[in-house]
Amino acid sequence: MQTQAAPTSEDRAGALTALGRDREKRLAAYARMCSRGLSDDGEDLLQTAYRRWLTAKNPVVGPEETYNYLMGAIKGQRFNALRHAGVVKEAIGERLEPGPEKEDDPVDDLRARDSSAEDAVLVQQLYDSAADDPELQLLIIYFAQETPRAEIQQEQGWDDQKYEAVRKRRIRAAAKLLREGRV
Amino acid sequence: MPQQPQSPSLADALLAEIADELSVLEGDALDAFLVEIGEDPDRLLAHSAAAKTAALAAQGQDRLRDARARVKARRAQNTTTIVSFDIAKKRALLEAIRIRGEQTGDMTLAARNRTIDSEEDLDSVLEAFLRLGIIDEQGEIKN
Repeated sequence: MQTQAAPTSEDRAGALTALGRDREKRLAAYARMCSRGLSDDGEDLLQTAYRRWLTAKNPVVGPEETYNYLMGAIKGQRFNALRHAGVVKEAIGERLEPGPEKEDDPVDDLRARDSSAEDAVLVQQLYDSAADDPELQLLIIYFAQETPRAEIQQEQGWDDQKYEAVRKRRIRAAAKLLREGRV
Repeated sequence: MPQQPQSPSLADALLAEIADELSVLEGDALDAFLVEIGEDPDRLLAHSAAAKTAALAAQGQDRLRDARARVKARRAQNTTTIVSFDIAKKRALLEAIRIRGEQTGDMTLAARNRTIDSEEDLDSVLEAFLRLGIIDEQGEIKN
């Protein structure tokens, strides 16, 4: 069986150059949205993702695989930063200890409560931003209630095309809110 | 008892949707989406280029730091044999170097006249000769 040589640092740097303009725009936009609520800005997240790629051991395949790795690295940084913030809050903010019968991590309880409060604010902001689009407002409510797509389509009489059109408006509305830092 | 995995927050769910949407858009459609949400596509490209340049520069700095650490470690390792010699052997080696230096004229006056007050001084001088390539790590004088 033929073994493939490990990619050199030049290969890895070359893969970043080969990403192309569209993928770079997507990564930068996504990093900026993911940075909301974090101490690092979008460029910091993107730079760290690029650094991780340069020192990673995974094979260099093609631009799409590199892009997927980088998107994952950006998302991972957001997840870790939010988890770290939860731990810090538990340590220096609210003091939480598990109840004698509970084995749950109190940090997870706190995170769940914070997450729930943030979700409520997010839904309100999204709903308000769609004041001139009643269909979008409906879909936002369904989204907040985690209503399955099939149920929404049945209740509203929307076919796939209609549902997708409203869903895309929801994506744009959310992206705009995240971009403006209002979420 | 193992915990149930926490369901993603709405913000995370929306970010996942946005990531999916971004990943299928290309060219003008991508630019139109970005402009619609308040982004400047050219500015995003500039952000990416800056982040890439910084990441590559940091990688270069990391490599230099690693190389320095390797050299430092090698130096520390190489002196081990010489430092372990007994003091008489160290003095004999120093004398041999001095004689060789006088014969070849390679040794400076300052080096010849250097005062050796302690074994630490002797170690320092021999380590310097090792780094200069006058002796090898086994304490043999190089030709």
